[in-house]
Amino acid sequence: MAFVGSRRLFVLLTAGLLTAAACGGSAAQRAALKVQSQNAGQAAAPAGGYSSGDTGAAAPADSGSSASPAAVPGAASAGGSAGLSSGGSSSATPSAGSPSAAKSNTPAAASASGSASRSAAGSNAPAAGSAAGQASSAGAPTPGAPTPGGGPAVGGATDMGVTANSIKVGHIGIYSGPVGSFGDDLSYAGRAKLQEINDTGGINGRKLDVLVRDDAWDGTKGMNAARDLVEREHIFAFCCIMSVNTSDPLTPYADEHKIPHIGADGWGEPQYKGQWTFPVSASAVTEAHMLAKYQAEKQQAKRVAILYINNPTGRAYVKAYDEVIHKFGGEVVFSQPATFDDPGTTTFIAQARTQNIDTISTYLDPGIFTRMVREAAAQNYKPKNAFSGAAGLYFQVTPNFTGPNGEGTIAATHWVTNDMDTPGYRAYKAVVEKYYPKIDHSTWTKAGFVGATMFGNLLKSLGLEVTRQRLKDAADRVTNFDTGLGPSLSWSPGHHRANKTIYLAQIQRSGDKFEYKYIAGPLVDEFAESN
Amino acid sequence: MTKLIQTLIIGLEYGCVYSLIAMGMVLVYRTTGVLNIAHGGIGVLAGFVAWDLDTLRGWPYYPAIAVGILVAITAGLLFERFVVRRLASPALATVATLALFLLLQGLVFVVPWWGNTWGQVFNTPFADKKVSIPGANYAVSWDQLILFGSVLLFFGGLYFVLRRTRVGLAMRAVSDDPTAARLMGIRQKLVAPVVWGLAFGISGVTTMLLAPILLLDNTSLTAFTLKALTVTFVGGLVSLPLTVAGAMALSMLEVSTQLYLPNTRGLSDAWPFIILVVVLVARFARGTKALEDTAVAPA
Repeated sequence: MAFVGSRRLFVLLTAGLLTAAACGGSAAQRAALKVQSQNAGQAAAPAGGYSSGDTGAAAPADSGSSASPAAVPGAASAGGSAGLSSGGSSSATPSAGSPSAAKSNTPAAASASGSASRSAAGSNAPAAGSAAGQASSAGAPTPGAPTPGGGPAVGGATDMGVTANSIKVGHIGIYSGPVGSFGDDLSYAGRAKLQEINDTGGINGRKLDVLVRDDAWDGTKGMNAARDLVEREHIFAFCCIMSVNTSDPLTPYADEHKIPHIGADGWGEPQYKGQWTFPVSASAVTEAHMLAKYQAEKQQAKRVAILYINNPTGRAYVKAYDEVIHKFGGEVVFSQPATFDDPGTTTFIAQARTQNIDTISTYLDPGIFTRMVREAAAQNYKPKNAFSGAAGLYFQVTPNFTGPNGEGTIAATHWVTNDMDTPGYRAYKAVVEKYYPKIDHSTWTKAGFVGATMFGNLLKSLGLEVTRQRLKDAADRVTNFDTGLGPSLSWSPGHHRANKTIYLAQIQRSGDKFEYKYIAGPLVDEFAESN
Repeated sequence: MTKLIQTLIIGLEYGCVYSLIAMGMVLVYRTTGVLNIAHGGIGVLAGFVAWDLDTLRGWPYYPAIAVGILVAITAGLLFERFVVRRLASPALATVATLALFLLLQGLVFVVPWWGNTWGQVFNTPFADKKVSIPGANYAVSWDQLILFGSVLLFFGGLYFVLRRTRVGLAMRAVSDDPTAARLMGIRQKLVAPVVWGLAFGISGVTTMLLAPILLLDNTSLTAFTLKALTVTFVGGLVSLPLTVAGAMALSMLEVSTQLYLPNTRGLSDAWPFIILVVVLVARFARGTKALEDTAVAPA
């Protein structure tokens, strides 16, 4: 009997375990399973300037001793700066405004400089002069100049997370979880830019000490990481977090603690309600607006079905698409939340077919989208206008996976498309690929890069007196920052929706491959809220 | 009428998915008393091996999947020899399968050329071949038809092996009463490897059948395994017919909810837990024979 009892207990425990696992089966289960080792396929990050300490599940590349050969040449060519060594932020750096600080001598960095005018501190981002110039005209101090109105000693520990030779920066990326396999790329692009800043002299004599955390695309984990960074690590600011599930809940937290977050992903609407959060990319709502308008005007879309990831951003996408398509006489006939472990994609396609849908739009990751497209092919079905989707589709893996079945798919992105191959894109690519040569250039790799660029430029514009309040104030004065990747960005107090621009790319055949090709843009969202 | 036929077809398709996974787990539990949580993980490993050989190295399809299944069988034999045999009870072995599952999950990501991929397209010789269903406005791919046939084959095959063959009788005897089985001349050390090799091999075959339909995805295939585990409780972890019936019931409920009640979002996801709770309450209320007596004897 005792054995029977223990077996009952065992069965109950197992059932409980399974229930818990299956309950969280969508995001949490995947999060638990896709682990840090996904980064193995990437070239290791250069170590210098990045804290190799208690970074939790951060990319192993942060460890100083693990710098891969791929990382070494680029870093070495950056002048052999202290950035190569672990914990290099404490190493001697060129003084602010010195020629060595202002000069970038690596091919990629030089390319990134483009024709931008240089600030005294040596800004080398594309059109960096825009942000720096604006800040100066608004009264920001010249680097190295005395602080107006007294205050803390110039240089040194001017604010939390700032020392005489370092600025502690928090960054939370997607290194595991349901989209961890390509989520890490989103993080790497911004980190490449921050590393380049360190490799070219840092910020007015200070190196960026970037603490990296993993949120597994889970807001709860992300907020735990954020609290740890703020309350234990005492970071100065957040930079370029490209995970909507963290950036959204982080926004009120940043307001509460008065911590700037420069270069947020901007995909979720809550980010535009914050005073201390400065998004650079466009929102999913803007994507839905522009896709609906384009598909109504150019493809005569009338009867639309939407398959979406069931989170607040996904639901906002559905609502926004529906609102705009109605203005053009169409309608969203039905929408359905998507999961990866049930018959959802199959039933969705069956319904679409039955209800004579002419356009299928999606807010999905490439995996569920691919399954849906393949399911449609298996059912011998493709709507008249094929498929479309939010920026979550704008990855090169998408056409690789869908093959000919996905031909005609339209994806939104917030920056120039890769095939446009503009000078700004080439400059961005040169910097990013110097550190991460295998990266899949997507909407948020570009956003991360832009965010990190703006963060660096704003810090430089503050001179030696680096404080959170001054950083926020400077960010709130940014006007027409030329990203080099399409839109120019402006922030002002209460108006942080800087990017309302959408480009559209379509999966087209290119020889025996399928690739995204530019078809429209820049399209500016006239339906967007003004905040 | 069209919607009803679609419901039946899609429900049958996903019922087959759940059934196929669940039957492999029932086989292990029925014959060893171990709940094989690593079932999905083994299949994913086998799938990635086959995908690697076929897609990355250009092997022909059939040799590639054969090697994948062989890897699964070998893993089963090694797991039995070096882990299960050393553990004192099925409960400990169950925990070991959990450890194996975690290990396999990590292993799939450790291989660099697998690690940065997550939903690979798994080749099939039957790509683009499909059959239209009259009156349903629906088509079914050959891969889905093969899946359906495989479920029938597995069901009949396992039932036959366990009930009608000497190996099957030996498996059941060892699990029911190891001491008596030994006295009857049945050597457990010969039977156990057969069970584990067969179970892991079935897991490999399952992935080869599912991946062309669902994509080769480490975590979603595992999530399907968790759902399948739910339906194994319908059969008390031992009954193949009830397990298949539970799988079909779950699938039909999910599909009909999605097609007929599209606004009740969340109900479809809730069905596995509703079923699990109902089954557990019902079984414990009447002191189920399956869970207590006909399962396995203590080690």
